[in-house]
Amino acid sequence: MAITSLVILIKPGSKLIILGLFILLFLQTQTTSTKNLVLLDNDEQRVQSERIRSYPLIYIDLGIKVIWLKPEIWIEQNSFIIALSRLEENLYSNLDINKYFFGGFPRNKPEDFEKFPFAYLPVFISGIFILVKKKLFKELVYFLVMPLLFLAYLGSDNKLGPFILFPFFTLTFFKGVTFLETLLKNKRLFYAIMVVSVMLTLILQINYSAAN
Amino acid sequence: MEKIKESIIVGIICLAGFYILSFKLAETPPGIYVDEAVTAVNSYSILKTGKDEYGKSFPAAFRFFGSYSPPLYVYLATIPVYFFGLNEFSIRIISVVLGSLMVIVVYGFLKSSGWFNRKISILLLPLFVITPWNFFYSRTGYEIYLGFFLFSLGALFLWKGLKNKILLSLGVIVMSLATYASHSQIYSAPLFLAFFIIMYFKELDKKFLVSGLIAAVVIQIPHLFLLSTKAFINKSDLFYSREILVNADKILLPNFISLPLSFLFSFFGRVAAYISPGNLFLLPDPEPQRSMPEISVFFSWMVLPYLAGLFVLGSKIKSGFAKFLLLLIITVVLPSSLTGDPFSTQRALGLLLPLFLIVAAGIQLISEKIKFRKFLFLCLGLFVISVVLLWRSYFVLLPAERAVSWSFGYKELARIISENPDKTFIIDRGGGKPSYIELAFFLKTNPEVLQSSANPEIKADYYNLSEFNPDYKFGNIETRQVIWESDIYKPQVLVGSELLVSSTQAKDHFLTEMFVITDSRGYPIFKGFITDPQKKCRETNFNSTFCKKPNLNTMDQ
Repeated sequence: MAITSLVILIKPGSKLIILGLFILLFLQTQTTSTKNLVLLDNDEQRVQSERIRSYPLIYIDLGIKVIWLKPEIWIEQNSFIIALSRLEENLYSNLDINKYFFGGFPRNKPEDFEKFPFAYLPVFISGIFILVKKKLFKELVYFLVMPLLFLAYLGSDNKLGPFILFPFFTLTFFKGVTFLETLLKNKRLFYAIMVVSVMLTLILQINYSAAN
Repeated sequence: MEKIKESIIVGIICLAGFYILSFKLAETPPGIYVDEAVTAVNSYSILKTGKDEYGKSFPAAFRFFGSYSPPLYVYLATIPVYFFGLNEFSIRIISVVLGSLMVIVVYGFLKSSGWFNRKISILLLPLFVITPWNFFYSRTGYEIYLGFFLFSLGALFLWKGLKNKILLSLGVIVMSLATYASHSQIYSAPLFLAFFIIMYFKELDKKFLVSGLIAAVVIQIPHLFLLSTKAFINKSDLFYSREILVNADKILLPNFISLPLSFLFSFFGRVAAYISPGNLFLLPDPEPQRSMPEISVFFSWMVLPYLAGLFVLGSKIKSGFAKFLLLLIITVVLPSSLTGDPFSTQRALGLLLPLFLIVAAGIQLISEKIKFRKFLFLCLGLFVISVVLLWRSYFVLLPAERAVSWSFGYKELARIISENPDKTFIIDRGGGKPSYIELAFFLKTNPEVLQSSANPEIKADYYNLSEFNPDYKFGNIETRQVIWESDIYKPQVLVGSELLVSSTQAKDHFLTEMFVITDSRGYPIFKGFITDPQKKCRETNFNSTFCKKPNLNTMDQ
């Protein structure tokens, strides 16, 4: 992760990035417990059958013939819809900002540890702003869209989290810091803020580790 | 001519919106939630007696379960309650009307922003009506949607007030009025107004601004009377001070560093939650009463236009409308993020407007990239899919899966109680939502009876006694915990959830099952058991002090 990220920053056009992403992709696949997109476990089957019973009877009376509609079959038992909703679930669970910056937040799962200190959030948002503003769509596709699509298929049952997105975060942090540097005209002040932030982050990380 | 045609189309969408929003209004959501019931009962009480359920004349804040809710919705609801009676329809219809009028407000923003073309603006209106966040809350019978509507209307007037002086004054007045509509607007509306004046001070017409502010202050007079009471600061317990202390303990740094850090963590965690795509497009509100199964506040496909809309917002960040949208977002998110709920769709309903406008900006951008005919076809397809998804979540799954959350079952219970006036019913909900108000609603209890059953001390110090006691006694009903030592020795009906009386208890205390009320899936919600004190006493040799020793002569007979 670190090497790929470093290459992105130092040599943005390098083929090493692609290699790095492939290695990350391979590792992500190896460490993630994948779930079949259409098979339902016992509890899901119970919910499905309960839901099927909840549907009202729907028909179209044509006078000479009554056509019965079966939305419960079309929706609840449709493998395509089941697969689509699972892909959606996998995708959106990785689009949750709290999952990366706020470990232990009330809505997170217990395994959603804090991947980055929350103090990085303004830098992250600034970075995204710059990526969009400068229309760096190639970077967005390679480091965000493609890994996200891959994760949507693979799922997010991984103790290390979606680490394939790590290079994207590194890139946005870099762009964000660069942007903030241009915003702050006083360079000394900028470096002072950076040093204090890094020190504080380090102390926080050590404390969290000690507390857990 | 164009303008007339446009107005007619918007009017038709409004009417269609009204029809869709009022579809099966009395039946879905199933039952009636306690907040709806308490609003309806108090409206009924105000209408009949001019006093609320505690006997207080025309309160400035209603002491609902000790929450001191803003009063506007209760007073407005007296109109439908007068015309249609005390029922589910009359308490929900105000929100429905406002939901359909909201179409005009949204159109006002779309048109005046300069970001959208006419065709897209019109196409977006039906989408707004069926957006889950809007659809859900515009069918609820309590104050939330009224607050949102007034806040949005006030914001529109202020935005247009940059060019139209009269609308500026009106905007300030409506914002002031919004503080009487819902709890969240007590914070969001003044905050928005203050930031708006600071941001656009140079562009505002001072004369009209001052006249608007004077009217706004006059409107605030009832609030000024509440300033020194508990009614004014009653939501302070929602702040997450305990969470901050617990997290600060984990940081091995001095308190003056760890406490602010811990606060920032909790605060920004919530801010992030309110704008996170995961919460907006996938996960519903964690509170089952405030969400629909399998659907979040926006349709999941809207994530693409949302991201595209953020891109538009970013690229037009220096434009007046982009700044205005950001102001709307900040003033809603700020107060919402100071409360404990990690993602409250109710408290942050004000976000619906700016976030929908961002989604709309994304849709506009997409429409510019593809041919209009293809775009129209795409829109139609997505609209149909969205309607089906909404129908499935709201009209099929919600009545089945969220019946208990919406207090389903009380209507049937009220029927049984009214058919058995000779029996006393003890209702024990085991610490659940207050049941007295549900029964008062369905039984249409005489407001004077309810007022006389309330603690008289409350009326004397109405705005300061916030502690709420759910135990009530009126008619043939008592709502309280079952006292097993004595209740089984009195002839009455014990009512509670399935867990209230086990089969062993029923056998030991000679309780006979009188009725079972189930939800649509057949799961029991209420069970009623008739006591048999005579048999209980006889079988236990009159050991209990609650058993009267029988006259032996009578026993022989």
